[in-house]
Amino acid sequence: MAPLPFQFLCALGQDGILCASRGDMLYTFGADCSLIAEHSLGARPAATSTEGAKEEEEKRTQAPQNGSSEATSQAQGVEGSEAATPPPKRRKVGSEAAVSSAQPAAGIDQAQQANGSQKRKNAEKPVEATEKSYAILLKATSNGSHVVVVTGGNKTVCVLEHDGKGILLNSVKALTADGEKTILVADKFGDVYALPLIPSADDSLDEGAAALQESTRLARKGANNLTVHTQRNLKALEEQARQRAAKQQQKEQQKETGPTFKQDLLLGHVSMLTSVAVASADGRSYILTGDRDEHIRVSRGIPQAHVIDNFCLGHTSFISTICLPQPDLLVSGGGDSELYAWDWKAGVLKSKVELLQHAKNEANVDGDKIAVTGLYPYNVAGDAGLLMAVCERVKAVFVFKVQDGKLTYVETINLAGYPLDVAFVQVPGQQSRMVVSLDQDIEGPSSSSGLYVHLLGSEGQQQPPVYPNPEGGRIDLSRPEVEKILYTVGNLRKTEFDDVTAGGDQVAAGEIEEKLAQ
Amino acid sequence: MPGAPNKKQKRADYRLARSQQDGATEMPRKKFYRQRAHANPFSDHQLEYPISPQHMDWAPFFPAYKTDPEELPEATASNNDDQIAQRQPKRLRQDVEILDIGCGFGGLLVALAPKLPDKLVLGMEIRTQVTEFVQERIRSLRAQHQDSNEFQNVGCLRANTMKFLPNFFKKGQLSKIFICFPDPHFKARKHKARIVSTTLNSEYAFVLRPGGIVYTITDVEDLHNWMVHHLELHPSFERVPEAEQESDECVKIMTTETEEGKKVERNKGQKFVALFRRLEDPPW
Repeated sequence: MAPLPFQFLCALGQDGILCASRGDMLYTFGADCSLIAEHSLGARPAATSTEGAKEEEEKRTQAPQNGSSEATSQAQGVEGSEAATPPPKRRKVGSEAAVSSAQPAAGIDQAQQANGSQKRKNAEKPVEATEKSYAILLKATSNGSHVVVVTGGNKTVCVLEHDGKGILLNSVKALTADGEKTILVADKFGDVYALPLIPSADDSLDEGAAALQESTRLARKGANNLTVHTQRNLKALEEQARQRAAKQQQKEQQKETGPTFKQDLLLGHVSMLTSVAVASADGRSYILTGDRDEHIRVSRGIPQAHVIDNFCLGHTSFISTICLPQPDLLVSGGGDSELYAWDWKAGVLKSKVELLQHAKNEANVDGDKIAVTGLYPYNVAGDAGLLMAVCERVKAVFVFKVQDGKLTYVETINLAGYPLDVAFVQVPGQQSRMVVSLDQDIEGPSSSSGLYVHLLGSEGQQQPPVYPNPEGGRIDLSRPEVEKILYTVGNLRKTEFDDVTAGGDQVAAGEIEEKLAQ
Repeated sequence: MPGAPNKKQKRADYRLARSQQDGATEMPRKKFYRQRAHANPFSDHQLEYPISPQHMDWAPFFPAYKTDPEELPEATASNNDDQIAQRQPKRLRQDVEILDIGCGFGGLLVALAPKLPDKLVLGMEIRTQVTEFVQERIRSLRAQHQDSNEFQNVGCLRANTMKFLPNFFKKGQLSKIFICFPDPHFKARKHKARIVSTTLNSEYAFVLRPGGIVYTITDVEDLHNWMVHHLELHPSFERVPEAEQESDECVKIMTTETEEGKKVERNKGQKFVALFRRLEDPPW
């Protein structure tokens, strides 16, 4: 049995606060690396029943009072906060769609563009290893006021408010006019939705409209006796009509089960969507999406997200992550052995930088395949920025310099374990920290927290601070289970099987397709 | 599975025999190319597709339109990946402009090609057997019409258009897209596999030039309503008025010449036609 390591990291605001996820727990650490609070995401069973939806509805209406009373009672102390913490407000996204990613998006309205910075967005395959509500994605708004967590087992996006001191609240307050207020969520089926960060009264679906939708859906019918002709098919059709009537009766008795907040479908890929980024050029926003079938799509932002401006095509293997270290520069990585740098506005590949060779030379990687799991841009004010690249099961962080739209390799930082996520924590009056969450238990259990700190821009011999390893909420899983949760990107690679369909045996081909569909 | 190996063998023999007679004018026989009518558009298959439209080599599909090798600088076999964008295959004298998505056994392609002699018409089909049939069909048609040079402007390839349309066509390359008798996917949970959807329409809008037309026809009323609903709802498309639709020659061909169209005719079924025009993108 091995404990689950810290997985996702994000910095909250500019005061050096770090938020880390481990299983279904969130932890916040202060600038002095002390543990401030823990927050349970609540391991509730997946809410797929009608009851779940109702419960959600109640939660919505109650949330304002809840937040002010319970959350404020939560002491600044480290202990005892677990029991007092109510399960976070959760919103279920689609009954079928597996939500695999969420990200607070930048400036959508005019007013927001002033302080909206671009945000990166990742999607990952949902965790199948467990039904528990483990975090599969963790993001903060650029001002650190809200944390968005996606949990895998129950396909939920949770929005938590951050009080600026490291305490996460469930409260729903009226949102001030500025700031980011839209979450872009991409699901495994390739669709990108816009959700309100905080649903307001007019965002919720009009009940009448919802009812109308339902009725039109039922009124539609499938085949009719003009489209099917054989005896058996006609019989099947009759049977379907009977079943439909029965279902309708049943539906009338039941209440609507879908989500009750507004969710706008922005765009979609048929391929599995793996990454989303929000960009802007000339004061217009754009949505960039990367998928498993090597496409990067450049769509216009809201409200013209249906217009595709461009495609950045050139990858030969899956894309797992994209980011914008500079406003006009897009960097993408995935199953290819290089990182690709694009002029995304024109859809032109500017350059590629080698990654596999560095992984082989400096990080002892065997084999000739790598899978980039994360790209993390770090911008020093007014200077050339840095870009950190992390690959699955490679014990290193690769550092690149970004200058004038070009990437140059700088160095490799070797690590004690496999890196899982990277966050940059800015502490006032101190050097910035790069925090890397590590999976250290490759050879055996380790007692340290697994949060590795690297001081950025340090020439001196300063000792990096150490983050503690909180005892609470440790989850012991077997090593294969842990791996299943942590390492999902490599599985995106397409397997090279023989094409049975080319051989001419269509029955076998059909069977294989059925299997793949499952 | 009794019978299957036998069938496989017969098919192999048939194909071998065909491939050995060069310039065969005899049409291929459908019975050796039948394939299950449904393919899962979400699975990986073993598809071949270009990295980008610039990388697509169209010459094998439209050999008569090949540019002369002297006209172009030689396609350098440079393996320098940084120059991949420059390493382009031989160009055609003109681009493919008309696309039949899910061309099936190629009835529409073969009927359209002589009517639009100055355009390149391409069919895309996800089923290998069926694609092969259409390719054979075109081959024999070309052989039969060597004198008139007909059917040189029609081609067919295997592709999953739902995933890889932008790999084949650049922005605004197409003027007509035909979606004829698509798989209706009756079950609600299969609706996401339908060829027309809000999100896919954006891709059709991308490859279609403003003013270009999407032609849809189906015998399933529910699917017709679905396609009309989704295309009308999409801000990049507007429905072509009935009167204009009637006068379009392609509509007539689409209604009577597709294999499915003929089948529906035989069974005295209904046919639902809807045309949609690609609008100019609003300023951004």
